Amino acid sequence: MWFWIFASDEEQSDEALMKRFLAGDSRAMGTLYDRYADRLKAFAYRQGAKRPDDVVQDAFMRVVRNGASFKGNAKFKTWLFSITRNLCIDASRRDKFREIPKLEDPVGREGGMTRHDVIENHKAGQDGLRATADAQFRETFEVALASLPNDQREVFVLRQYSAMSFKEIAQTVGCKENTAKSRMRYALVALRQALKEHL
Amino acid sequence: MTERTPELSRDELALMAAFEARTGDVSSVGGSTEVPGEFKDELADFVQITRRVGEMELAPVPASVRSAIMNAAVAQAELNANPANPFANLLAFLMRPGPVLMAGTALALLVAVGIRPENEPAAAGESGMVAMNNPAKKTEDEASAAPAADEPAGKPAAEAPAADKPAGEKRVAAAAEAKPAVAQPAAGAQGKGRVPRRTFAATPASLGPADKGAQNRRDQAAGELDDLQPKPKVKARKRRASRKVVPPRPRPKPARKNVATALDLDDGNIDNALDYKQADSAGYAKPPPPRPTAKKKRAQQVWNSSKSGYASGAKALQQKRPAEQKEKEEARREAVQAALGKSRSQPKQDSYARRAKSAPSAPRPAASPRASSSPRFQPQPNKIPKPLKESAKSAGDDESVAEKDARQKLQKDIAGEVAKLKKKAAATKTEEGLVAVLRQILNLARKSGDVKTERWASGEIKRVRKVQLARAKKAAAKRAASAKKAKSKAPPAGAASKAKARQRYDVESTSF
Repeated sequence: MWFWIFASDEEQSDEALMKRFLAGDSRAMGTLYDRYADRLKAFAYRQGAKRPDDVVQDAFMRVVRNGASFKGNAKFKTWLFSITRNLCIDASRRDKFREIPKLEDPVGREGGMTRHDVIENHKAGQDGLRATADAQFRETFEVALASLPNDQREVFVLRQYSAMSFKEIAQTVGCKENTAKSRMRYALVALRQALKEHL
Repeated sequence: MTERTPELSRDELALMAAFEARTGDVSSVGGSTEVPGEFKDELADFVQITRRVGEMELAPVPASVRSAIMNAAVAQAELNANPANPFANLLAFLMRPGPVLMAGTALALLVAVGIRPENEPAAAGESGMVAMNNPAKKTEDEASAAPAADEPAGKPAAEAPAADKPAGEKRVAAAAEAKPAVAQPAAGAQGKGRVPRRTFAATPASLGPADKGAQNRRDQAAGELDDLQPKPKVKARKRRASRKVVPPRPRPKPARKNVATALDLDDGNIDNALDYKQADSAGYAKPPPPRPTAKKKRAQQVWNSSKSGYASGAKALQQKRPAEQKEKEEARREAVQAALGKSRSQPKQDSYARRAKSAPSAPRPAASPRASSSPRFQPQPNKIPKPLKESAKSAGDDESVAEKDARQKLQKDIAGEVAKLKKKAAATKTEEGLVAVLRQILNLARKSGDVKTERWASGEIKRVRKVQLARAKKAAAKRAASAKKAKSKAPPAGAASKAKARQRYDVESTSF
C-alpha cells in the first residue's frame, strides 16, 4: 500500500500519484501534469479546440479540485481524457461564436506553429527541404483529419495521443470496444488514402 | 453527429489488434497479433501514419499554466492533508455574520416574550388599564360598588310581568334573564386577571328613538327581502323573532367609579339614577354621566324648565338671577318700551329691539323621549337657542295688541314709501338726484328699523360717490397729461436725424 514511498515519481502509476496527491503531496500532481499536459494539448488541438492551453489548464484544475471524486475504479488516464474531451466539446460550442485571430493561435490546422512563429521563421529564412516536406505532410494530414467524421477522428486522436487501448477508448467515448476498433480502422483507411503520396 | 460505423470482419479485427500491439502498449493486447497477408501493407501504412503524426511537434504548454495548476494543487494538498475538524467547520459556518444576527434576534425575541409573566400589571402610564387588568384593584372597586348595585338587584326587570311592559323593556328583561348564564364564564375570566366580557343588552335608549314608523319600515323591508327568497314567510318571521331573542353579546365591563357617589341624586337626575341602578344590576348599564358642575346645573334647570315653554324657563332663570341683574334688565325693558312708544310719533327705532320682538316666542318642541329617558342624557346649555335668551331679556311679552297693530301699520306705511322712492331712484337720471332719493330711503329705513334697506341705500350712495370720485380723478389725470403734451410740443433740434438713423439701423439689422 505504501510502496510509492520508496518508488520514484516517474516509476509510479498514475493512480498511485493521484493517491499521493490526495494524501497531501502536491509534487504528485506536478508529475501527473508533466506526464499528460502535452498529450492533452495535442488531443484538444486535434479535437478542434481553438485554445488548447486553456483546455489543458481547465482539465488539470478540475482534477485538482475534484480529486476526491476519483475512486480508482477506472484508470486515471481515462478519467483525465474524459474530462478533457468534455471540455473540448464545451470549448468547440463556445468557439463557434468567437472567431478572433490571435498571434498565439496556431496557423490553420498546423499544430505547434503559431502566427507569431510563422512570422519569425519567415524573417530568419528557415525554409529547408525537410521543413517543406513536413509542412506538406502536416497540411495534408490536417485536411484529411478535419474531413473525418467526428467519432472516427475522436477515436484516432485518443489512440494517437493518449496511447490508450481500445478498451479504454471505448470507456472514454462510451461505446463498445469493437466499435472503437471499427472507427479507428475506417479513420486510418481514410488517412492512408489522403496521405498516400507522403508515405 | 456520429455515423453508424460498419462492423469489422474477423480479419479486420485481427488487423486492428496487430495495429494496437505495434503502436501501443503490447501488454494490453491479448491473443494473437498475426495478420493475413493482404492486410500486411495496410498495417505497415497505418503504423507509418501513426509514427509520422506522432513526430509532428506541437508547441509545449506554457509554463504559466503549470504554475497555476501547481499553486492550486499545493492549496488543495494542504486541505487534503489536514482535513478540517467537522466541528470547526460547523463553528466557522455558524459564526458568520448572518447566522449570528439571526440567532441574536431570535434570542432577544425569546427573552422579551419569556421574561414578562402573564399576571404582570401594565405600565404605570396606562392608569385606565390598570384597573381593568389588575384583578386586585378591580375587586376593590367592585366591593365598594357592591352595596349600591345590589340594592335594586334587577328585581323589577325580573319580577315585572313581561306582558305589561313595552317592547324595549321586554328585551331588557330577556337580557336580564340571560345574564347569569353569560356571567359565569366572565367570572372565570376575572379570576385569571383578564377583562371580563359583559353581555350586551339593548336598553330602551340604545334601541333608538321610539320611532315605530322606522321600525315598521325596517321590518317591512326585511319582510320584502324574505319574500324574494323561496322560503315561506312563516320561517322568516320565526327567524326575525329569534333574532330579537338572540343572547346578547358579552361586553367588557368598563372601569368606573362607585355608582352611589358618581350619581347626582337630586333634581331630574333621580329617575336617570334609578334607571341606571336598575340597568347596572341587570349587567348592561353604561357608565354614569360625570358629576355636573355648577354651570351645568344651572343649564340643566333652564333645560328642564324649557320643557314647559321658553317663557316659563326664562322666568325660572330670572328668579335665580341676582338682584343687580334684575334691576339692569328692568331698566333696559323700560328703555325698549319707551322706544316702542316713541316709534308711533317718531319713526326712529332701535333695530335690536325690533329683532327681539320678532323673535319666535313659540314654546320649544318637547324633548324626544329618548333624550329624556336616556341614562346618558347630558344637558346642553350651549345649544339653547339665542332667541330664548333675548326674549327673556327683552321682556316684551306684555306688549299690548293696540301697540302692536300701530307698529305694524307704521312699518307698512314706511315700506310703501320706500318702494315709491326706489321707483323714483330708478327713474332718476342725474347722480345728485339719485343720491338725494337714496338718502330719503336711508332715513326711512332707519326709522322703520329695516336694516336691509338701510344697508342697500347706504351702499348705493357709496357706489355713486365712488363713481363720481373716480371720474374726477380721471379728468384730473387727463388735464395733467394734456398740459405735459403742450409743454413738450416743440421738438428738439436733432430729433429728426435721430429718428432717421434708428430707422436705418433697424433695416440693417434685419436684412443681413
